[in-house]
Parts: sequence; C-alpha cells; structure tokens
Amino acid sequence: MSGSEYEAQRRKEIEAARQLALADVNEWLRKIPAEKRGKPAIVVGTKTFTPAQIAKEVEDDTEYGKQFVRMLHKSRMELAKRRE
Amino acid sequence: MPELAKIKEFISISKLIVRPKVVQSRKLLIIRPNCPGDNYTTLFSYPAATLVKNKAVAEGWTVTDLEGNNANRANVESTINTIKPDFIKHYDHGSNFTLYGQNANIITPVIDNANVNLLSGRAVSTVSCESAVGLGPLAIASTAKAYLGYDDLHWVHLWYIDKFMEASNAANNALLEGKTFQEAYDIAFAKYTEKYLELVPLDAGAAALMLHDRDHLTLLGNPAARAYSLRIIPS
Repeated sequence: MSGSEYEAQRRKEIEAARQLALADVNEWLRKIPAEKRGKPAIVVGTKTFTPAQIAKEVEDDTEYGKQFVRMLHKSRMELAKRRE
Repeated sequence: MPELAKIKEFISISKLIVRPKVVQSRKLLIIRPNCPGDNYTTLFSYPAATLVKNKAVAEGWTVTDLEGNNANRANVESTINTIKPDFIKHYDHGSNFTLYGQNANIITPVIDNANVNLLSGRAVSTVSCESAVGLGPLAIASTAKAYLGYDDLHWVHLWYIDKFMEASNAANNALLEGKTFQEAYDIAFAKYTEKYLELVPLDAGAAALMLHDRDHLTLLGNPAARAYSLRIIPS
C-alpha cells in the first residue's frame, strides 16, 4: 500500500467513524423522551446544551460535538473492558 | 537521701524544658462563585461546595467561605495572606492557567500565573475545567503540597446533578477526613465509576460525561500529603 493509498483509506475510515458516531448520538437521542429533548441538560464551562443541541453540535462537527463523540466512544470501550 | 534529692532536682529541671506539642492545623478556604445566569456555578458548583462546607464544619475545620461576589481576586489574595489556610478548595470555572472567581456578578480570574505563589505550602483542590494542565504544575513548582484538579473540560448533566455532585465531592470529603491525596483520588475514582455504572442504563450520554470526568481527575504533587498541616507549638 502506497502512502497516498494509506491516507485515502484513513480518510475513508474517519468518515465512517463519524457516521457511526452520528448513529450513536441519534440512538442516544431516540431513547430520551421527546418532551425532554429540548430541555437544558448538559453543562460545560459557561455553556448549556439540550440533548437536541448536542446532537446538532455532533452533526456540525464542532469542538463540543467532537468531544461528546469521543466521550461516547470511551464509554463504549469502558463497557467492553468490563465484559468477559 | 541523696538519691531522692537527685530525683527532685531532675524533676525540677525537666519542668524547665519546653516540650513542643505537634497539633493539626485545619484551616480551610472555600472559593465558590455563584454567578447569576451561569448554570455551572448556580446549579452545580455552588451547591456542591455547600455540601463540602457542611462536611468541613462537621470534621472540625475552621472555614473561611468566599462565596458569590466575595470570591473576587482582592479578597482571595488578602484572605490567603491573612488567614494562611492549610487547604484551599475552589469550585468554579477553570482554564489551563487560571482559576476563576466572581466580581460584580462577572466571572473573573482569581488565581493564575501572576499570583500562583499564594498556593505555596498549601493543599489545593479544585472542581473546575482544565487547570491541572497548566496552573497545577505551576502550583507544584511554587511548592504547593498537592494539587487535585481536572486536565480537561469538566462536564455535568443537570438531570442527574446529585450524582455529579456526589462524585465530584468524594475526593474533597476524603481530604477533610484526613486521608492522603492518593487515598482521596482513589476514593473519587471509585465513586465516579459507581455513578457511571448507575447512569449507563439510564442515559448513555450522561454516563459518558461521568466517565470523562473520572478519567480527567488529576493528582499532582505529593500523593502522601494531607490537607491539614502539622504545627509545632510550645507546651
């Protein structure tokens, strides 16, 4: 595999990971009762997000969105470590 | 009775010898803004600090509480210089090199690289974002005993705020009980894990925030240090 092929493969996988993350966030949002999705929930620094706003941050690939996705991935890894 | 005379003489001399007594000094400074319109301080950090304040009083600490607009830079500096607290607890916003307070209802820096020497010789713990990255190492370089903080953003979820308070306060409560910083860190790690596992079936997003906070709690300085100080006083 040449260097450029490797980079192309990496880019493809990053996009796939983003799609997976979006699916994760949508799954998380789907489990929250509809009437609560617009209520303030997540606070970081001076910012407050509703679940719907966090999903939008992920969709828009903002810094907060990226970090939320990383946290979901870390949680999935933590649970995987705990499974025998 | 020469022997008795000798004994009497020894006793009278020993009375003249000053025997130093070692006592614990338990002076706590709490810095806890309560900025109107700021959800992190009003809904999380200020009430969380109230819980540890109550715990401190119950554990026999002398507490100086700089809350709300009293948690401004001038007050923080003068209080540290006059009270000389053994333990400084901060509950508010943080960034890489700054712990914030409040002045005229505005979030304002109170400890940063310009006055980090105020932390010299003291135990420090902060529930806030990021300061373990930059200010923490500066504090240790300025001979703070130990520094407990977070090396990334500190996230909370309002729907499960009691769980976030319990986890965030676990280390501070342990320090107030006299445990070492390492013991306090370990207790907090376990409490964060417990609360994470409680949240997993309730809300995957909230659970992920709890896990993130656990994994970014950072202990700097001497892990065997305790929040109280030992003072030698003449008897």
